[in-house]
Amino acid sequence: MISTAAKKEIDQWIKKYPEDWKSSAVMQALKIVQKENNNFLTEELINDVASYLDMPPIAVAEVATFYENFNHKPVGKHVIRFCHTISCMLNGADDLIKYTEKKIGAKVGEVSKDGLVSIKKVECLGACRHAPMFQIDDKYYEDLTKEKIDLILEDLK
Amino acid sequence: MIEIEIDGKKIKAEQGEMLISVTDREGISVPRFCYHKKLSVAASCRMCLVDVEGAPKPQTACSTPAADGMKIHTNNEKAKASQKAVMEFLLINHPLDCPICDQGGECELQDVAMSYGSDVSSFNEGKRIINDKGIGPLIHTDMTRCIHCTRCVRFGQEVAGIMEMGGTGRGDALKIEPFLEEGITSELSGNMIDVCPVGALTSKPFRYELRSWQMNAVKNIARHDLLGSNIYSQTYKGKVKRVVAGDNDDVNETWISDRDRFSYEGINSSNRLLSPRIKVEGQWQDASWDVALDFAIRGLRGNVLKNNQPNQLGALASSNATLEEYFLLQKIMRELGSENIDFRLSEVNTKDQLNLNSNIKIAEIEKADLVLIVGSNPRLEQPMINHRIRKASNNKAKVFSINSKSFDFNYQINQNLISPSKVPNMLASILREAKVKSSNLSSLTDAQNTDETLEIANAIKNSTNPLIVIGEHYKNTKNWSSIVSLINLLAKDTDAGILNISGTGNYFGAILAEFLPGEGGLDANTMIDKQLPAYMLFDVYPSYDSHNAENFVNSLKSEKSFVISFNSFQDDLVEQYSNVILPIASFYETSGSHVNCENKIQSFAAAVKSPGESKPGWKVLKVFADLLELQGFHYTDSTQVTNEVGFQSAKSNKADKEIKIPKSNSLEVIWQSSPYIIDPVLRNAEALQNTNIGKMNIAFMNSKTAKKLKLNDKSVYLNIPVSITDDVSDSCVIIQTNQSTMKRSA
Amino acid sequence: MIDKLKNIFKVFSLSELRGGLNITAHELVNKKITVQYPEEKTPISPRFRGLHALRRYPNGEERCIACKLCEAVCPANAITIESEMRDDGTRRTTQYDIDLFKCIFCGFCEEACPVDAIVETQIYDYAFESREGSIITKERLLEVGEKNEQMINKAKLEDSKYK
Repeated sequence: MISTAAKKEIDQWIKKYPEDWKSSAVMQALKIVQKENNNFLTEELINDVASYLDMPPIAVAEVATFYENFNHKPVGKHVIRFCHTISCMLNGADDLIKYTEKKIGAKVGEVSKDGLVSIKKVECLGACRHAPMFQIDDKYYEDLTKEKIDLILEDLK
Repeated sequence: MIEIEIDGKKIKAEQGEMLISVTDREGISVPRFCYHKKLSVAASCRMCLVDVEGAPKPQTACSTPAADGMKIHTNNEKAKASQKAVMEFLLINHPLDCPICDQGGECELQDVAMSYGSDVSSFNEGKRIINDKGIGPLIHTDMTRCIHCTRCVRFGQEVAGIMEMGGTGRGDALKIEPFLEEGITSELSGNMIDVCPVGALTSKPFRYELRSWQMNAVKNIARHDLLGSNIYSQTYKGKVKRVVAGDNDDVNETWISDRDRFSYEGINSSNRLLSPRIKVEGQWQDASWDVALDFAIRGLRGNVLKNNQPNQLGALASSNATLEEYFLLQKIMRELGSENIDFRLSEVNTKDQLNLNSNIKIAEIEKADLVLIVGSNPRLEQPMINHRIRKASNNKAKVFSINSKSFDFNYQINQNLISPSKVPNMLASILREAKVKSSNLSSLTDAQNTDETLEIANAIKNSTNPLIVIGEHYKNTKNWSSIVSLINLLAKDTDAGILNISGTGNYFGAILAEFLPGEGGLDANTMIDKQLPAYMLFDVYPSYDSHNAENFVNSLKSEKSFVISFNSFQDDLVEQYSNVILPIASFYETSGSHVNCENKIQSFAAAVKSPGESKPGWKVLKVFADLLELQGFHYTDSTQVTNEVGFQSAKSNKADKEIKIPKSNSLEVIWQSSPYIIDPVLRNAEALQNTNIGKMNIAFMNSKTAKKLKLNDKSVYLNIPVSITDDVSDSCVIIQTNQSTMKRSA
Repeated sequence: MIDKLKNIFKVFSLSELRGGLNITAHELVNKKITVQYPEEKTPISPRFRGLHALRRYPNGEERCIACKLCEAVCPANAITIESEMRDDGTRRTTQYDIDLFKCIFCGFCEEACPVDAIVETQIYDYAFESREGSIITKERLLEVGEKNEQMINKAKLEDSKYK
């Protein structure tokens, strides 16, 4: 169920678009309900958003599965979004992902045992000239090396 | 008109027309997967790349508009190289399982790969595999074969009107799938099989049976609804194995409903009647045609003809016979001197002959700017007509409905919920408020206005091309004749089109052949109540065709009635009251004609031979007439009969009955049969019966009615499980059921 | 004139007779090439196209997937196949008949088969006792395949380097 507070917030976004274009607010609506649900979406929430915005559920699911900032499984307090698109890949992102997995003790798509971090592979985040890079929460970390990752992960604790 | 040059040939084209439609018209081959002439342009497969002079890169023909002086090459080096590259890309994840794929042999990907592809791929990495979850009893999925053309997704959005398929994920993880557990529920879902260019979506009942090249395709007409969709029945060794859509922009465009597509399973059922049968001393026995026909004629002679009482003979038919069969049977009856002819078995009110003819062509429905639907849920009852109304709605037409339950329409609609007994009042007030010629009729003065009637009346006044659609829901209510008369007046005075979709099957064929009681003749209900000494029943299965099967059977069972039944399926009830049963051909097995709701006669040929001893109905009737020594039955071909029916102009509307506007609000029960049980072929089609629509069996009522009837959510009403919802009007129970009419009385 | 004299000489010197006897004498001591059929058989090419067989995979599963390509390609219309979905969801034949009276042993069926299920073995000495016997059913085809798998395998292996 979408909470009343969330509904109010979604209504704010609906107002920004012309009438009959309620569906334009789908990204924001998903973001709002995801935030309320420990940062991940469930099938039920997608259905709820769909009926709130008069959209077919599959159309909401299309959006929710396309964008990497929507999670479909429980995530840690911090989410490491590791870019693995071409520039990062050529600069050794795959190695670094393996390194990070070992470091936090969780594979891609999983949450670390202490629930602090989870790791996710994402498509290009647009910081190619500083590849390899990842994003934790809202912050970019660029020109990554193993040492740098050690320090960043230490800071999270 | 502009001029463009394609492969060195000067060609005329419309400004802004997409290149691919120009090349298609000119017969220049351009490969494509995602482009479909009836769907929007997606330009997602990139297969139709052509070289446009002046453009740095090849352009997709499906999304490049023609401009004056454009020079296009469809098969120069550049175009060929890019087509080859795209083909290789599309085949990256496509499995090489053509030998076990049902699409093999009729696969667009296979064809295009043969002509434009290469036999070597530079992709050495692992292929993507998708685990299928079932999407219903009609469509089988193999999504590993999907090439993401999104035709099925666009079909759902644009034609079926409910988006059930969608693309989830991105990149190489993109999957085409439905989100909801119940899979695909649309009544037009089978068309996804036709539009799928690969073997990702294939027909489930047909799975692994035959390869496409093994079958013969015979042009045919689907006979389940009032549209007569053009279809191809594909046959193999004398059996219909699959049905696919034919093209006819005046009727069904390129789509057909699931009902038309999957019903063929029924005619191959083990339930068919294979030999003539006669009842001797209460025991049924198989007989030869000679014996059975002789038995039937002797019965007729003995019971009615000998005493010179031809008017004691009654003929009844269902609404599923062909035009020729109706015509021959009524001709036999009238030659014998009986006017007791009727096909309106499912109607309670057969006293008046109400005849509301549609005066609009099916293709014109989408041009209406206002549609008023009265007593119908066209999506289930007439899916392809609903598709046309949906098109009108997409063209910005306003759509109103006057129903006793709100239904799941797949377009923008203003639904008015109203008790059945208040419908005449509502129509009368619309008629008065629309300020048209008849609005000063004295009987209208009592009608009370509401906000809704004013809104509809205003909309009618302001529209230039209104259309009134009348459906079957109120047919068996007390006020049917008033409703029909009011609609007739309203349409006449506002120059609105009328679309009568209150029947099923070949309803209009029966009317055209005058399969109705003539002067002094008895109507269906009287015929049954009177217990005549002899009946001829053509294709009648009382458990579903009659509105009260119990009454029907009890009446005909009597010893003194001699009953000749013409049937194509075995039926217990038919055996209870018949004296002789003659096996006739079913759908796809006989030649004949179907008359659709715009009175268009569409003739079809037999696709297969009927099984066992059964014979086409028109031939049986012809021989029957010969044996009765009647004159004028020298037919050798069903088309001779068709020609004799003549292309008479549609009859004028007989609807000007007295208009009564009831004051009281009595409880009405509206029975609505599941669209998949309306004829014997459908009832025996297994896959259709397993769909949600086929399984529906619920009595809907609102909480007020439930309280009055002392029912709750767990009880049953007239043997049907009750569902209490507030989208039903007061004093009304709407029953949607797949059960027979046997136990319909309380 | 000279020709005539040559001829007379040839006749009277019995040179043709001696030539013939010479061959006979040679063959008397040479290795024999006559084989004692049916105890012995002449060698045949691995590409020989004889009686048909349906093969199985080593795990016992039949190879044929009912794609019906052999039926489609058969120039003599000798093959009849009916298919259905087996309970485990795979595509299988319910009927696979070859009419050996119609068959012209062209080997197209073997060429068309995507899973090497239908093959033509090197068996050529078979006979029918009734007309129906000429129609060889799926069971019999599989039986031929089972009995002669080694022979089929060997022939395929020998031929593989030329493909």
